[in-house]
Amino acid sequence: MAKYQLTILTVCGAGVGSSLMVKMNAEEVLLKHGIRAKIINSDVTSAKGNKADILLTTDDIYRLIRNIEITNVVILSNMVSKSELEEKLVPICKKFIEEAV
Amino acid sequence: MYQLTGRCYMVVQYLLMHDAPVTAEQLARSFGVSTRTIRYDLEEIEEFLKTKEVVLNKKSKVGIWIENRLQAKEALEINIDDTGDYYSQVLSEKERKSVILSTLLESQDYLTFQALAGRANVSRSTIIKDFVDVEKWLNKRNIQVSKKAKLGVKIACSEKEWRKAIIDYIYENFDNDSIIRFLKENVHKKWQNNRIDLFKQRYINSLFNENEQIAFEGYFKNIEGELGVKFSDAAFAGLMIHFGIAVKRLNRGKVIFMPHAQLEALKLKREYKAAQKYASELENEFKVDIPDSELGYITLHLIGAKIRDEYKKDTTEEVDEDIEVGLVKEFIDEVGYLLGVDLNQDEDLKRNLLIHIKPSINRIRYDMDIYNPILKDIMDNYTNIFNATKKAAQELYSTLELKVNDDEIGFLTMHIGAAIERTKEARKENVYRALLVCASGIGTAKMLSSRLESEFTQIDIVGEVPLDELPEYVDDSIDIVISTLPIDDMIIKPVVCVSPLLTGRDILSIKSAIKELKEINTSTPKFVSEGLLKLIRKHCTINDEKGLVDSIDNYFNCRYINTDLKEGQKLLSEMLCTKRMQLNIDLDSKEQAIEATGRLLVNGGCAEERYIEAMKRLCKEFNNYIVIAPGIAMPHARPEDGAINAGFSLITLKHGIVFGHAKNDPVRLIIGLAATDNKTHLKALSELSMLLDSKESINKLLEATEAEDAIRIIKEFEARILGMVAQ
Repeated sequence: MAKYQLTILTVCGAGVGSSLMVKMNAEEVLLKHGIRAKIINSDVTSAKGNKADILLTTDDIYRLIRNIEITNVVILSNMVSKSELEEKLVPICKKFIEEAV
Repeated sequence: MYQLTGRCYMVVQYLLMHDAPVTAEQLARSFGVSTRTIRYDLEEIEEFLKTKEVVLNKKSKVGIWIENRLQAKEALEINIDDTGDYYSQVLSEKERKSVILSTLLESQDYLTFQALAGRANVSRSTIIKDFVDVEKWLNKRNIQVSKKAKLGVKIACSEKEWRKAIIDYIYENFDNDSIIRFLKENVHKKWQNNRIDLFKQRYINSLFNENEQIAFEGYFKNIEGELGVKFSDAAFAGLMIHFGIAVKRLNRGKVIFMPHAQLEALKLKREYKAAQKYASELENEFKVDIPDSELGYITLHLIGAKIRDEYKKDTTEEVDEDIEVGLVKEFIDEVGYLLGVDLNQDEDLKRNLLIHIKPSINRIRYDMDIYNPILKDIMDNYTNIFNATKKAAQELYSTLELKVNDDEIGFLTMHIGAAIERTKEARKENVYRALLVCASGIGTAKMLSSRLESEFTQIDIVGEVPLDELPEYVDDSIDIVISTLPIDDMIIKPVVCVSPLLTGRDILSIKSAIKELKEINTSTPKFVSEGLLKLIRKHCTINDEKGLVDSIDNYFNCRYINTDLKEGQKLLSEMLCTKRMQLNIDLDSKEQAIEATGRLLVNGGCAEERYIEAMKRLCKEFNNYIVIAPGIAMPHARPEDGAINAGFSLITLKHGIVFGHAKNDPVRLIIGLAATDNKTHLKALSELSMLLDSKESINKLLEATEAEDAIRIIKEFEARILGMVAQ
């Protein structure tokens, strides 16, 4: 029985640009904080087909997929900023891991 | 008739079990769902309770509680007795028998079959059928069942037999690990979602509440300190349970009896003195008198408890020590002979057996049963070793005029098994350092340790640690934690849970965990550590240590950020060329900006004409999502919209344009992207991300007027961050 794995979904319009960028930045930031997570990226149209614990995206995209079945949402205003990720994503990941047994 | 079910039902139970108001957050945490879900549940519950004329109170900042609790309990058609167990669900045959048994054991008076039937929610005739097995179980333990017409059934036995029966019952229904876990969780008040676990949890809860548990733990920890030993997790839990029961029985006036001679002999022992020393605190806490005979039984348990720590020399019993050493040596000789293996060189085995032997002898001498939860597995999987151990053990113990039972032999088998695994082929170079967490004490831990190391040459078990000390031992040098207990704390290392006897499935789990470790280690090396720095200092003179550390960090950061990154991927400077740049120009609108960016891509052969329309369309459709950071936009479309060759274009504006983004307007720097898949441009994209995260670089780019300057700026950034220059 392996430990519970946190899954994060990043979404952007086309699926090859900003969502990839955020995915890579998130991987690096989480690695730095010793948090193991699986990060998947997707574009808007296929976003809802993905199962994840945390949704990571911008406000403009989120407005289009509001009814997605992920309750934990992290909204970024700056997609290149690692510090924003540290500020917003890391605490919620830590909380998740603490509560998941 | 509508009934509450599932989680709603359990939420009401939860509310009824707590006197004080409970917040929605607490409920959400306890049941592992969101507060929104809890609120929906509460709505349903409120509706249901209204029909039963029960009021659900909700007050913000205070919490939720039920006003007329008794009515609520009736509403749920719950049967409650004074220990507060709930039996309103359908039980299996095994569960029914368990319920009958525990009810009988706990009951002072005669119980009718009808009452038992009501308890278990079945018919009287079913109970009568079940009762046959229950009676057999009791008789085996010397407990008689007295039957009186019209009154019912009642058990008759001595206090000693009663306590033995209860202990058997507990260990039959809960495995060691569950007990340890329940004891820990009882203090932290975590709840299970499974309703049967709820029943079991209530049972343990009925033994002691949180304060009592803390008091007992304190008592036994004091004794540990006084005796200079640490008991294994399982032994400690066993002590807690025994004692919890003892105090409850004392409260009901049930005193246990011990023969005078035996008691006098025990009073001379250190363990008795330790038990006595701290007993007064407990007497105050529980308002009960602990008679000498109780202390005597505690002493027996202490003597029989499995010790975890190093073999402690007991100065008052030197004579025994020599005898034990001699016995152990003979035992090892005999087993080795029977199995055709030389175990005499194994110092670990000698030491472990010595630690094990004394409590074992005491257990048998004083008729304290030890329970080996994995005995069956041992007998099945290690039959040869078990039989040889049995033969040798029987000889050893008979010289002391004692008879040894299979449970004891099982434990001895584990020590021998561990030793044998150790004699197998020499281990190769170990790669991953592992910590092992095991509940049942030295034998199981050592055996598992040996098996793991022989089964997996890439694992080196650094040490076996008890669960509550795990966080202290986890540090940078540890790669993985292997445990037979579930681990609640957040440990930043990978954890694999296995059974003490390593099933086929466990082996697969460990194999895949190692594979993951490998992937992490090759694709994402650790950052600069003190160890690495020491190595470098040893062989070089470092001019700028901080610079070195930063560069190395960045080097590894960039190279191995993403497992999809491959060596052949192009750098940003290779995917941008001067022909695809327009610097320091003026444009009037975002449409113009996107058009211009797209045009550069098309003219540069990166995309078809239709790609430009697609870029504009997507931007509109998705609310200007392309404005990815303050002042920066990255218009792009999908590969299938007409991308030909992966590449970037760049436009910088003299004056910012408003795109309509809520936060990041106005835009002065625009990067166009044509992507043919989600891989080719990855390296460049991650580089771009870093570049755009650097205010310094952005300003430089915005100030540049010539395309060559822009390329140079980017290449300088690459050189600094990546430690390499593009060809």
